[in-house]
Amino acid sequence: MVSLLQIFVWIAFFIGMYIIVFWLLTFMEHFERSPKRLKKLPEVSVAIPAYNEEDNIEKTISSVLNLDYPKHLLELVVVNDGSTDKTEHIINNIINSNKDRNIKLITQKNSGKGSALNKALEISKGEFFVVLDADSFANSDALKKMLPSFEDKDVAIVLPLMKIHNPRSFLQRVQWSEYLINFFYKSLMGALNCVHVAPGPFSVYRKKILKEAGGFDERNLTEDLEITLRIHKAHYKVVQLLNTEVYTNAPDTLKDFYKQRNRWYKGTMFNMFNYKWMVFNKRYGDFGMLQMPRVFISGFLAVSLLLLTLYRFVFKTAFDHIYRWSKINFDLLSVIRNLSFDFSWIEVNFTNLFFFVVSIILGAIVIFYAHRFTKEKMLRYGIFSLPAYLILYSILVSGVWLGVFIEMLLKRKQKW
Amino acid sequence: MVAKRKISKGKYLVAFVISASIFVIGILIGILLTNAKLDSINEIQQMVRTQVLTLETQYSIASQNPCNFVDYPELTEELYKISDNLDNLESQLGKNNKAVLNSVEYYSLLETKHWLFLKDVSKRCGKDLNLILFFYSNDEGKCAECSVQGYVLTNLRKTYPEKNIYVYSFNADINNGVINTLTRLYSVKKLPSIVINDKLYSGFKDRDELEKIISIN
Repeated sequence: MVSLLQIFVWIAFFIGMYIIVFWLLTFMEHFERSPKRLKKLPEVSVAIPAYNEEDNIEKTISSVLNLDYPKHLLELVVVNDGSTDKTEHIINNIINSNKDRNIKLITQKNSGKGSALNKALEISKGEFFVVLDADSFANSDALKKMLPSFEDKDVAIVLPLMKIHNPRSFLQRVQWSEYLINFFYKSLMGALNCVHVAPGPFSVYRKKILKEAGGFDERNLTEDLEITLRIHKAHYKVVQLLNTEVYTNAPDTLKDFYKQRNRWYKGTMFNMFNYKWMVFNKRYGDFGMLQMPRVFISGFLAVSLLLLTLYRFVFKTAFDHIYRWSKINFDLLSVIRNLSFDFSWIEVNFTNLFFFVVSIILGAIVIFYAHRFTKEKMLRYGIFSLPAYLILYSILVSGVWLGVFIEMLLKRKQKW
Repeated sequence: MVAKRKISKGKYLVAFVISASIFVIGILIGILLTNAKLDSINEIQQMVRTQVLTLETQYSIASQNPCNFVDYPELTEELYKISDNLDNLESQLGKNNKAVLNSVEYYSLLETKHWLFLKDVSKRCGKDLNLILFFYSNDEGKCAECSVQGYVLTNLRKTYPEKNIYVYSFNADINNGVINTLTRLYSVKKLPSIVINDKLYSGFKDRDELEKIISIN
């Protein structure tokens, strides 16, 4: 009859479809958003934490110096987090050749990004505090496009559209597509105040709220996720914009990709457990009722789907075939000769076929609008990069999740 | 402090209604088309029945020299196709579904008729045919090796076309008169069981063993 695997796949399909339909409805409601106007330009501080960033730091700093913003209202605080390369030397050179600009350098023993950001937060003078990772570069219109959103006094964080800088390798192009779709999705989440993470590249914070919340958690794997959750705890708003861009470098080897994601997902898991009381908590509105549960289960869902697929369609199929062949003395020649491809429509499971088609259509709608709203062409990186994203991305991400879960299980055993 | 948070209750409901409708449509499509599948299988059965009847009739008409008139190989391929389709339907609808039961019963009748006919031909015309009855179950828990046995038999049949091997499979899970008579006749006690040229072989047999039984070197 209906197998357990089938039921599980249907449940996963239903949850996925429900979430997509919900956000598409949100999309239709919040289709047009009128841009707000700034009454008066405030003072802004940009903090760049840097650890061994000799290759990128110059470009990152100049993207700040090139911001379309009055010089006397822009403060730059670079924190050298105990770099062992030429980072500090390069920063000093830039300071010396830009005497007219307000650039400060703090040097500390290597103690992590959270700590570096807190140091910068302490000495910064601006009304707004911008975090800019040393491997990312902002568009020059970033501040002017982002600051107006703070006219709403409840807004604590404003985020720009993040794109991959110059994606060359295959893996980077997969991430390029991922980022476009992800940030389109985040802009919809923002409409219901459901953005759960403010990533490092050019997130603008209202400093008063950031300080009230207590600054960054220095011992957190993903301090950007943690501070966002803390700000949600205080019921402030997080806004995701698509009208200005920041470019970030993406890992181009599988190993680096795994390392980066492993940290992200482990941090997500850790913080989700710390904030699990927000899951299905009505006091946090849509954020508590939809977003927290979604983030909470996504890892489990990804891993169980990966394991089931691997078991059912890879290991079991391989084992079954080898076993069968052993019973005909591995006379594979006869197998090949007798191969028949007569396809019978009677064998098709039409329910699953229908669900598959629905998924494709929903996915296509999301992909289409994601490209339209991030002003990118779908075929920019060839016809293969999108299909590759669709096929590879879920496998890559579930693979990382699997690694995270295995690590967590092993660590637990060590403790016993 | 800050304005109270909202829960978009209406939207949760609308999203649920939409996705639930899509889900139900999917299930309905599955059910509707499964019925269409049954119809199509019944059509194939009808065709096979006509072919068997035609053969029998040809055979009777040409009573003078019957062996020259009988032409059977194409027919049996259709028979195998029905068998695969029925197994598939059984997995989708369950073995207790009435339509499945009816189809399997009818199929078993056709198979038996075909088998009896070939048995007769082989005796009278001195044709060297290898007629195999295969009793199986689609329930993995009951008979883990049945599907492998089916695979081995199909492989054997296709690998030695010159041996005139015919495999008639009977789903022993399904309770019907013809199958019950056959299992009693050959005292089939366990699954899988194979009857080759009227002799019972109980339990799984791999290709080597089967080759020995029908003497293929």
